[in-house]
Amino acid sequence: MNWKYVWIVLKKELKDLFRDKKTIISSILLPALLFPVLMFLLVKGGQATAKKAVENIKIVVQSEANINDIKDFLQKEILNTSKEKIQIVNIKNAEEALKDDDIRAILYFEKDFLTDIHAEKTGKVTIIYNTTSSKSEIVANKISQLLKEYKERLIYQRITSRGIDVSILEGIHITKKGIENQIDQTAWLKKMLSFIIPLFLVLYPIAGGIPAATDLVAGEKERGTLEPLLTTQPNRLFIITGKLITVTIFSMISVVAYFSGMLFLGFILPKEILQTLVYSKTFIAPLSILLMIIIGVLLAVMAAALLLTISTFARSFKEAQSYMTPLIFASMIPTYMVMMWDVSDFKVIHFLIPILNAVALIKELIINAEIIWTHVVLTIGSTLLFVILALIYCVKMFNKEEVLFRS
Amino acid sequence: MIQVKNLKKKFKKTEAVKDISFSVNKGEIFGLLGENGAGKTTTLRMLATMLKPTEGTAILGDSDILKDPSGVRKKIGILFGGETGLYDRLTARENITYFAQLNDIDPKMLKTRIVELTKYLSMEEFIDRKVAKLSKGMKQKVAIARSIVHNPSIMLFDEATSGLDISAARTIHDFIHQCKAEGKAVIFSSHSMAEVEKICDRIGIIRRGQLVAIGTVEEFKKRHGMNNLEDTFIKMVGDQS
Ligand SMILES: Nc1ncnc2c1ncn2[C@@H]1O[C@H](COP(=O)(O)OP(=O)(O)OP(=O)(O)O)[C@@H](O)[C@H]1O
Ligand SMILES: [Mg+2]
Repeated sequence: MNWKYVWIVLKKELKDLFRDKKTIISSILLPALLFPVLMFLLVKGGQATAKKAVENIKIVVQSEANINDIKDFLQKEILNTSKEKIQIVNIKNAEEALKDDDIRAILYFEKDFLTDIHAEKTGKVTIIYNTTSSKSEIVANKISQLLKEYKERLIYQRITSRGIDVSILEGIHITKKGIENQIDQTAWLKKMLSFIIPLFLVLYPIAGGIPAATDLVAGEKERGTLEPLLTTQPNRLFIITGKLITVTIFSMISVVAYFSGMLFLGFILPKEILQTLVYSKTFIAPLSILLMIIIGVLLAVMAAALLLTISTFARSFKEAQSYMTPLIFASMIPTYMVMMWDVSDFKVIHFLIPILNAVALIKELIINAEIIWTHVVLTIGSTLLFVILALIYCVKMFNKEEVLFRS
Repeated sequence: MIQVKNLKKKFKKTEAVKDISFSVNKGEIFGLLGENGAGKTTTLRMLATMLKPTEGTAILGDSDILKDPSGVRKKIGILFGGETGLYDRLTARENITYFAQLNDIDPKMLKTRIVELTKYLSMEEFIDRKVAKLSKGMKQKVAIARSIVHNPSIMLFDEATSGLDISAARTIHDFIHQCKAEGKAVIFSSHSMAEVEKICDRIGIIRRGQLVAIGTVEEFKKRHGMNNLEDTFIKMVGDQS
């Protein structure tokens, strides 16, 4: 191998592709931004609704008892304890207003509410809210919380006024320990990651490599640059090697861009989840992460070889793209298959089938605490074999004159 | 300089080149004249080592296309018609540099070589502009510069003027004469008899993969008693079928 030529080709191809807006957008920008932007909008949207819901809260009070007495009580005992200002308004058709999102809730106090409370009986109140409005729902929960707090104060008063210790009410005291909580969250996160990581580790090398791969051979054919290129000094092996490395780099850039996007997303995720990640040492072992990176690189090389083979075979840009696009969807099949299986369902044979084995192994590495080395060796070994076969096939294709000079 | 010996090329079904032999001397322009599908491109691609001949061989300079393809590639420059075959997103200079590097030009010599070529082809104005932004004529000049950056002693032109306007075609014709003056051996393929008659010293007429006649322009005219090559060509094609 004459690396001087490989390096010349690689340098030129990278320079050329980095000047192509289409390639930059679809191989780098899109994977980096798509997921975080979507999630960001979702989270921000949620926060905005929550904020809007507690801005300018209007409610309506209904009761067959003396409405002013009820309102006084509500204001003094309950609403005044709220951080957010809650305004009681008078509206004739309150239910319509609730449906139209003009008010957030209706509080209906039973006729005997105040007398019952004073008589140390149970006062009854109903919160009516609009189930289709998240703002209404948030306010209903808020008022419910305020009422509960009032209820607790009330009970405390009633009991202490009888000279009884309040602890009598608490039959048992339950403490929920954080550790229990953590395991739950890690399990949930692991499950999610065991789907997302393999999905994009398989998908993005292909999706991200397509623009580069199409350009590098089919594009050269179409623009007539391939013929002069083939009459230069380096033999075809060096040229195709330079191109293979270029596509591999773009495939990996896409994956890295995607995961950078995920990391960025980490900053806007709920803090508890981040803390769990940081503090649980057993979350995903560094060795497992290293193994995933190795698999990721192998998958990128395999994708590059596959895509360049197709690009060489195709007569034109368009033809290449129409062969490659279905690959994106095909690549998702193993991921969805593995998603349905439990880690305990994996059999040795699964670790011999290319791509499927990578997906299965990554899932296993994330879910299981311990690394099963036979699976690792089988997966990396067979993937390596397929990578070598794909590379040989790609180089062969690039040396086939009936393919290279088809018109 | 160029010796083509019984070249044959068979694709799956078609025999594109059947049995072609001819030779071209230093400072000579050899015209390969033939209709569409006659086998011109296939012949030139074999000489340029892009295709492997099914049978026969050719010696270019002192390199055999089969035994020393890389030696052959060192000696040849190609200018193929249709697209100019340049990278749009690279500048003219970057395009030329890429091919210079791939042709083993000493990095120390590279800059001076590009200055030389820029002057030779008057490309000063656009040498650092992206190819996408160049006019057709400018691109033609860049393509010429690229084809001779390694100073080849043999030039292969395949339908190099097809689709060009008169002034761009003129640039190519001038360049071909320049090559002759510098002592390069030139093969120029075309399906235009008038063009071949105008610029070539010797002509080979290729028909269905075979050379049906070889000679100088004068010889052709004498042999067939015609005044111009076009009539001769038509007569020859008529003779054969
Ligand atoms: N890669 C290929 N595979 C199969 N057949 C081919 C291939 N290249 C050329 N041919 C066939 O070989 C014959 C000669 O083609 P060639 O391109 O050499 O002709 P040409 O003289 O250059 O014609 P044109 O003036 O159209 O360029 C044609 O019949 C063509 O269809
Ligand atoms: Mg041709």
